[in-house]
Amino acid sequence: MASKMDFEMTEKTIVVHPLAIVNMTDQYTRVRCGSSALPADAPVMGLLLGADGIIYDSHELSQTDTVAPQVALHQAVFPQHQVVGWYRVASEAGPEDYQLTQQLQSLYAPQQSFVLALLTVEDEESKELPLSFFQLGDQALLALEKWELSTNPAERIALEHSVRSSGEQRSSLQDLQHAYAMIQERLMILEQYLLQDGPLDPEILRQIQSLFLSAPVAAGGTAKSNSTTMMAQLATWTRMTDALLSYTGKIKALQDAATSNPPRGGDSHRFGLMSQF
Amino acid sequence: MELEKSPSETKEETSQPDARFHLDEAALETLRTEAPWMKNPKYFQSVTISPSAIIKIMMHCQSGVDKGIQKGGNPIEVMGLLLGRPDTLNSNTLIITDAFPLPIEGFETRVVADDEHVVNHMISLGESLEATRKEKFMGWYHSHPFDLSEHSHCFLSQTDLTTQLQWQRAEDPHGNPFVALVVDPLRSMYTEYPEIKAFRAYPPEYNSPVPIECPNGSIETSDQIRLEKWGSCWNRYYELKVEYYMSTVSRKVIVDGLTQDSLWMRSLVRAPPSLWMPQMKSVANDFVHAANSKIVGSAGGGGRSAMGSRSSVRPDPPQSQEWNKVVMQVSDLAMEHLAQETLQESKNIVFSVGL
Repeated sequence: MASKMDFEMTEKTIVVHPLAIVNMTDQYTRVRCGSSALPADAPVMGLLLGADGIIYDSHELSQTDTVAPQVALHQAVFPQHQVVGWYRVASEAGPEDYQLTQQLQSLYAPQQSFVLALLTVEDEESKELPLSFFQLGDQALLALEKWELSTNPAERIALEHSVRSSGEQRSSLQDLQHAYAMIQERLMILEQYLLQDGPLDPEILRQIQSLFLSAPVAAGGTAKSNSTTMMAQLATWTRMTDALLSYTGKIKALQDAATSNPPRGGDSHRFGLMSQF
Repeated sequence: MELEKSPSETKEETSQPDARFHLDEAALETLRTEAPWMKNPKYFQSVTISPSAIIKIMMHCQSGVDKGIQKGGNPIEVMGLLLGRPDTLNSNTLIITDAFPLPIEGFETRVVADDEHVVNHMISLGESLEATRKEKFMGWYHSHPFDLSEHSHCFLSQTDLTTQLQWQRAEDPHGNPFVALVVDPLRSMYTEYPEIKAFRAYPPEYNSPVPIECPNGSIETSDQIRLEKWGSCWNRYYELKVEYYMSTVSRKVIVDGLTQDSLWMRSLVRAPPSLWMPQMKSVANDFVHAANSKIVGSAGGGGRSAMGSRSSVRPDPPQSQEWNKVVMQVSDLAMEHLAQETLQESKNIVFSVGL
C-alpha cells in the first residue's frame, strides 16, 4: 500500500484486538449502507482505546471533539483504558491526517504515544494486510512496521463462534483439511529457503531442525501405522452407529406405542416398555 | 465499489449478510406503530447478534469473573445495554447491533431498572450515541457467573424477571420491544462455546397453553430440575433463538485478511474429548426427558383424542419438534465425536515421534 508520505521504520510493536477492527468494519458497513446517523459518504473514523501498547476497543467519531462523553463512559467500566490513538477507514494516509493526529493527540493523550490506524477495505485484489499503523514524526507520519493481533479466550470464543455461525457452515473435517494445507504452505516456504544458494542464518537453521525433530512425517517418514489408523476409525464408526441405532430403536418403539399401533413382534418387550396406552 | 445507487437497487443487490445493515426507516416506523408484539406475547422468536456485540458482551462478562476472583472472592455479575432494532425484513427477529457495558456490579438482589446510577449512565450513553447511531437501546444483558454445574445458568431469576417486565412495560408499547440476554461466562470458558440465551417475559395476563412448559418449549416433569434450569419463574418467560450475522467487509478483513493465520491453528488445537462428556450427559438427559414427555403427552393425548376423534393431531407437533431437536443434538454430538477422533488420529500421525 503505497503511501505518499515519507516514512521510516520504528521498532515498537503495537498489539491489536480483533474487537477494535470489527468495530471499524461494522461502522464502515453501517455508514455506507445508510443505517448510520451520519451521511453515507461521511469519513469513517474514530478513537482507539487501550492500555500498555495494546488496543482493545474503538469508538466512532462524527466530529473530532464530541467523543469525550463516550470515552468517559467507557472508562467508567474499564478505568484502565486510555485513548491511545485514532483510526480511519481509508486506502491511504492523506496530508490532513497528520494535522488531525496532532490535534487528537493534544486533546486526548498529550506527551504520550498516539497512533493512527489505517484500515483498507476497498481494495479487492490486494494481497497485503488491510491494516497499517502510523506514529507522529517531526514532519510526517512514520509507519510502524510491527504490529500483531492478539486475543483473549472470551474474545476468541465469541469471534470464532460468530464466524462459524454466520457464514457458510464448514464441517470440522474441512477445517482440518484447511489447517493441514496451511501447514504444507509454510513447509514449502521453508523448503525454498533451505534450497537457496548463499549463506543461511544458523539461528533459523537450528529452529528448522528442531521443528523436524518433532514432526517425522514432515521430514519424509510415511504413515507407518496404516492399520492402526483404520482400526481406530472403524472403532469410532462402530461406536457411533451403535449409539445412533439404540437411540433410533427407542424412538421407534416409543412412536409405535404412542400411535397405538400394535407393536410388531416383541419390539416393546425388547426395550422394556409398557405397552398399555 | 462505492454504493452510489438508489436505495431500492442497493437493497436488491445487497448480499444477504449486509441486509441487516440497511435500514428501511419507513417500514421500521410502521412496524413500531403497529407493534404486533403487543397482541402476541410470543411474537419474537429469535435474535441475531453482530460480532462486535457478542465480543463485547463475552469480554465484559469475563472481566467481571476475573475481577471478582482477583479480589479473592466470587466472580462478579455484570450487566450492560443492547443497541438494535426489530428486523423489518424477517419479522419475529430482533437485531442486536451493539452492546455497551454498564458500571454496575452485583445486582442480583436489586431491581436494576429502578437504579438512579444506571438510568443516568443510560441517558448519557444514549445522548452520546445519537450523533452517530440510529438504533435505540432495546435490551439488556447480564451474566450469571455461578459455579459450573450440570445445567447452563442462562435463565431469568425472579429479580431479573421483574426487571425485564418493567422494561417491557415501559418500552414495548412505544414501539421498542425489549429483550434480555443472559450469559454464563464460566460455562462458556469450559465448553469453548458462548453460553448465551435470549428471553422475553410474558405479560402477567398471559399463560402458556401447554402445562409445565419450560421457556425453551420442552416439557420438564421434575420440579427440582425445572427450578434448577429455569428458576422459580419458569413459566413467566420464554427463550428466543440466538443467531449471528457478520458483514461481508468484516468477514473479509477479519477472517480472510487477519485471523486466517490464527484461526486455522485453532482447528488443530481443539478441546480434548473429555470436555464433551458434560454435553453428552446433558443431551442424554434431554433425551430422557423428551422420552418421558412423549409418554406423558401421549397418555394424555391418547385420552383426549379418543373422546374427540375428529380433532387433528394437535398434541403431536410440539412433541415431534422436541424429538427432532434431541435427534439433531445426538447426531451433532456424534459428528463432533467423529471429528475429534479423526483430529486425534491425524495429529498422532503427523506430530508424534516414533509411533
